[in-house]
Amino acid sequence: MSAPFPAGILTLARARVGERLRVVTICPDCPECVRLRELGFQDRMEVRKVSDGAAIICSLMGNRVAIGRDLGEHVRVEKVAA
Amino acid sequence: MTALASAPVPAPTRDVVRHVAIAGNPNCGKSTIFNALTGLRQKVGNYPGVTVEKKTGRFFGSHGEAMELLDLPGSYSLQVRSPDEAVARDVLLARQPDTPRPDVVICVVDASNLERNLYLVAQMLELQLPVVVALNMVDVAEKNGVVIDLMALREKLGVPVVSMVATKGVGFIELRQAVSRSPLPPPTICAQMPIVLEREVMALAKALPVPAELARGEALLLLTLHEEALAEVTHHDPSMIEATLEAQRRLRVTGFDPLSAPVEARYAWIGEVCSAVLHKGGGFDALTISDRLDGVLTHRIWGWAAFLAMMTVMFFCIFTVAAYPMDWIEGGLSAFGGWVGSLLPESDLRSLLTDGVIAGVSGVLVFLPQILVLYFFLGILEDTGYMARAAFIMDRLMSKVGLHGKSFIPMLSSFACAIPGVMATRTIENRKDRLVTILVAPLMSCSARLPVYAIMIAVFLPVASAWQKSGIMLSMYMLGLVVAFAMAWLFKKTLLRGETPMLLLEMPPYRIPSWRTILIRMWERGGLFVRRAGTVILALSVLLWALSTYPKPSDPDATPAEAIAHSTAGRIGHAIEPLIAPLGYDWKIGIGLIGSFAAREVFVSTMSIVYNVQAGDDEDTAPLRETMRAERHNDGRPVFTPLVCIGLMVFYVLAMQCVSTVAIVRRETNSWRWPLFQVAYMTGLAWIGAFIVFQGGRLLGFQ
Repeated sequence: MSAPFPAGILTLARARVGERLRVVTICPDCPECVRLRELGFQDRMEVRKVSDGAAIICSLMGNRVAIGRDLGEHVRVEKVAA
Repeated sequence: MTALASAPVPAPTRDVVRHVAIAGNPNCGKSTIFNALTGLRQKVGNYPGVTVEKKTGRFFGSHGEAMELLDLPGSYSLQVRSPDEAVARDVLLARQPDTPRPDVVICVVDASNLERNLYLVAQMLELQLPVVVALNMVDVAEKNGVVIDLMALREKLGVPVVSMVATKGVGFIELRQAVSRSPLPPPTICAQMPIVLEREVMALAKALPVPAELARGEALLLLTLHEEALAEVTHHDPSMIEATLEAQRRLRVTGFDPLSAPVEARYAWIGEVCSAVLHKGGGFDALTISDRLDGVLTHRIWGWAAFLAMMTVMFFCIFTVAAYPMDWIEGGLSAFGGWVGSLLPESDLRSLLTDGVIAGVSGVLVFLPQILVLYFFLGILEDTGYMARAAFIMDRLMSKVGLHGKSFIPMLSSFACAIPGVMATRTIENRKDRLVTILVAPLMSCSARLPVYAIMIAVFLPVASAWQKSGIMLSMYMLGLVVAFAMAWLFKKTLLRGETPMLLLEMPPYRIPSWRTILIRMWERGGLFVRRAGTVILALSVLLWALSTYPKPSDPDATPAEAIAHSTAGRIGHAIEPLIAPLGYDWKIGIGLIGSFAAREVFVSTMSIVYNVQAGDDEDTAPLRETMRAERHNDGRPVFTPLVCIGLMVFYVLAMQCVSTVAIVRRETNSWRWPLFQVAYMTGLAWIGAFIVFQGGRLLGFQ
């Protein structure tokens, strides 16, 4: 997690609310990696951050999922051009 | 749905020709379909985790054949994370000895969220079980601009697909026909795994000592378990676990992650299916109503404000809306007691009926309207989808005590009753976190505490406004919440240490509540309350009357107060008086505390009996609150001072006075150790809380 990200890549936890994003990858060492993928956090999948706080709400495939900020740090995303 | 729900249900004796299971993601309408087919009334709600254990019922197929229907808890995947998800997996893989493997699985799919829901369907198809896909909520999908090509979906999945709107009774005839079809062949289509992975799966399947039809599914599940989960597997031989680990190592060498590769393969297949069957309209950027509501209700400040406002309105209505019917019930029951008393001559029988049965039962029954108002509001919270939002806003606080927001859903359910609250902990993945949540859930004020709070508030604040009363009631609920958080923190730091888990929770879309569902729930919970008053409370009232009446004093001129002091209950009360005197309680309150060990609301009926017996036959029966307000110690000091009343409320916030909850904790923890520990720590906490209120209040100069 401490390695610098390539340009344009950020974590879901650090993305701004309302932004249209695309999942780049999920850290394989994340304990919830498999469940996140099963819930649709697939590479290249589009997500939108709906709410931010101690936890995050994001919208993907038409449904909303709340994930803790710590978990959001494991999901790398990139902004999708409007 | 009404017509279907009232359809005749096969007699239990008729031979079952087919075992059918209903599976699917959480919150996709499984229990609604189950209820409509069987005529039963399983609880339904708009949040994940309403059903946490399997339920069975019977229904007729389209040719009149009897079928057994099994409602399984919702599950996102067969790669389970929590005890409720494990139930579904174990039934489908024939791991539960008391449940036959289903002949058919109705896989319920939320049409408005097809891609994600098809993931479980993909896993079902790998199990070699005949599957019927119930494509539910097609109306919601259409409203969202999503059109699904049913024929194309049938073709792509290779199994029957039925279009449904379960809440409106649409699609049930087709569903019955699909399930009744004979023979129902196992599926022939499923997601293709990468060849390297498939080779390992087949090798492992051959070595597994399970029936051939289960082998591939079992092998695939084993191969996609991470190392810690594999270490916990007990249903396979250790040599199989070692073989699985070896296979995983080989896959990693070839560049495959055995955990994520099958997920990616299934989603690749789902992508192909959806591109052929799904026609979407609308733009990605359009904010939905749910998005806008979430902007407020999950906001770090407005979310809390909204939560507190909802609670305040609920308690305000409990005191205002319920006040009129409570007066009617109180007046009616009082008149009934007077009428019964006037029919009978002075005797023990008359005392038993008026001072025991009628006083005891009516003392509790009068609170029925408040219970109904409570369930009305809780029903709205559950049905609109707010429960998950409450869990979300609580996550920050919960993470401070070492739990995540998901633990708040069982706690919020415990506002109604701790029993469903304790059962709802099955959705919690981590065993220690689940145990911590079970230990603190009964600290949330349940509906049985409501009569105790209400009578105490009426005693020490007789002329207060509804706002003041609801403020005190709200503070009692908040006290339970704060102490629950504090105890959870303590348990996580001492007995049940562990890392704070990461929150991962689906937020259901907001929905207009189903008034029918809420009214049914109020009716059922109200009925349960009345039945409890007519059974448990009635039996305890008779027992308490007997204990408060016998043995009678030898002196025939003894006053009623002397007689009750001489009775068995009086002696018990006097025996525990030294223990409760530091809390400001006299021996009569002690009788109430002992009597309510089985159920909290019995405190009110016990007080009714004690003061009615004490009043004797020659005095008018005043409402309990007035009798309690007039009660004096021998030196003329009032018994129910504000400090005593607040102390009693605090005692009941913290005490574990519910035998049913003890029994359910015993079942859920599979041991007597935890429920007994829970009774001990909560009783100790209650005593300390009441002591601090009474003695601390006196030190500060209060009465």
